[in-house]
Amino acid sequence: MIRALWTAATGMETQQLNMDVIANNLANVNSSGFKKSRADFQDILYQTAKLPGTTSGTGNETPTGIQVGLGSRVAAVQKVFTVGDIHKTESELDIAIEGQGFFQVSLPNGDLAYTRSGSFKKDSTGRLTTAEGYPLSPEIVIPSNASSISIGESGTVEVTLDGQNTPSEVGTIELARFSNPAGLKSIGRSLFTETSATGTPATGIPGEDGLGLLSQGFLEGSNVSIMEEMVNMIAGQRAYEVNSKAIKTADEMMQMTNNLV
Amino acid sequence: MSSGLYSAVSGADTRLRMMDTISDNLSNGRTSGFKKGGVSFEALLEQPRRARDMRGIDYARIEEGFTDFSQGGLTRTGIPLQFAIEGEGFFKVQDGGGRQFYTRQADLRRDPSGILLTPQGMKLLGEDGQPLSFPGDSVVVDEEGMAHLPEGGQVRVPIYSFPDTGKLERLGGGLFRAPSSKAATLVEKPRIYQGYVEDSNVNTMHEMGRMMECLRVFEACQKLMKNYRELDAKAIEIGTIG
Repeated sequence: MIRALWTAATGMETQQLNMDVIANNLANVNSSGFKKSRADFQDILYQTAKLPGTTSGTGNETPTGIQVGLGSRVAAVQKVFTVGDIHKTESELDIAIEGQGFFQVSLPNGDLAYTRSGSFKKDSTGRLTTAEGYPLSPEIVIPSNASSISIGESGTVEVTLDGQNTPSEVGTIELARFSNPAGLKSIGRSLFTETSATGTPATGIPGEDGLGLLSQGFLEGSNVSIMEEMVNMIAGQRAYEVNSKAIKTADEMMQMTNNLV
Repeated sequence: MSSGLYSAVSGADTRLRMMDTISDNLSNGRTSGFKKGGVSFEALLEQPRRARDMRGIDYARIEEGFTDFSQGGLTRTGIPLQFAIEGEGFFKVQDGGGRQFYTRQADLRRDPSGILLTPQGMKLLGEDGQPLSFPGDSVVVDEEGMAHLPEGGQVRVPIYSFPDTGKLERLGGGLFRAPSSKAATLVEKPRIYQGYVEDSNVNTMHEMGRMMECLRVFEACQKLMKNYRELDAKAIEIGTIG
């Protein structure tokens, strides 16, 4: 049977997945701390009818062989950890990282997760948590009688208590970084967990060892560029279409053959 | 029976194979670093095998399938570990078994120790044949392929070229294998772009044109086969006694 049918089908399949990735990026265009994904493709194995460089009947070396490719596949879908746009929010518990690094939060099972989304809240005990209620690690507790909170560039959290003039320190926000952030596993909610590919995280004070500085009252938006996604979507849609045309043509050829008899 | 029928069959058969190649090209229209394939068989038609007993019948046959190594467009992605080559050359990578391959698709990752890996986990090789390793956070590679390390110093990201790219065997996964007899030479003045990928060099318009041509030639060959059948039917009719 004609290979072209299946070859073109692999092309349609990869473009379908590409569209899924683009749709997820677009859906999260306003999610703070979201990092876009990118699908990369590869060609798949070749059926070799004649190897290049073999000797032909007349003793000459054939300059090229005959190799028919069998389509494309998705090589990887990777997160792109470029910094998103940082915008002002005025909320005193919104923190953006200007540069590399992740906030560390404790999951209910005790494991650590990592996030770039610095939109923190206070829970009933005064702990700083993410919107889902996962506490920041190491824990920072804001006393209930604090009238103002100030978070320094290097992560120092200071509160001014009611009736006092001098601020007192309640903790320091630490950041973690990875030698290979692309290896992080997304678990949704803008959270990531480490894998064997990321290496062990190195924690440190913001502003040191290549970690970014913190800025209070700012949030990091997603790094999705709508323009870029739109262009990718158009290109993906057309690539899908052209593959369906190839299937149609191959089908027509088979139909002609069937009409011979 | 007329042996001309077999000419028509061979013509249709080659078009089927050509369709396979076109379909592969279209399917990889968005694969970065992909180099389109082509087939040529027209040459055989122009040089008919005229032996005395063959009565000048020409058969069409795929003589060669080639890879078109023309440059694909460069698209900016902003991902620091993606590299695109402008002009000739290939990156050299090595798999776990020590086998070496060449690729134009440098969409790399870093393992925890800083070694650069392709999506299949192959290691990018440096000039000394050892895997390249960039520990630390950022690496800047200039257009001449020199990587400036954060702790100072430069390392070349080498690219290699071949005098005759036609002898490269395609393996899928964006990889090419060189025959052992052909040595690769280091490209002296490479052009490498960091944060870019090289798009597939498939031109959709061109492929669609080829596909239409392929379909119609196939159709014509089918018509020929039908005509031969009618001719044979007539011949049988004449020969019938009664």
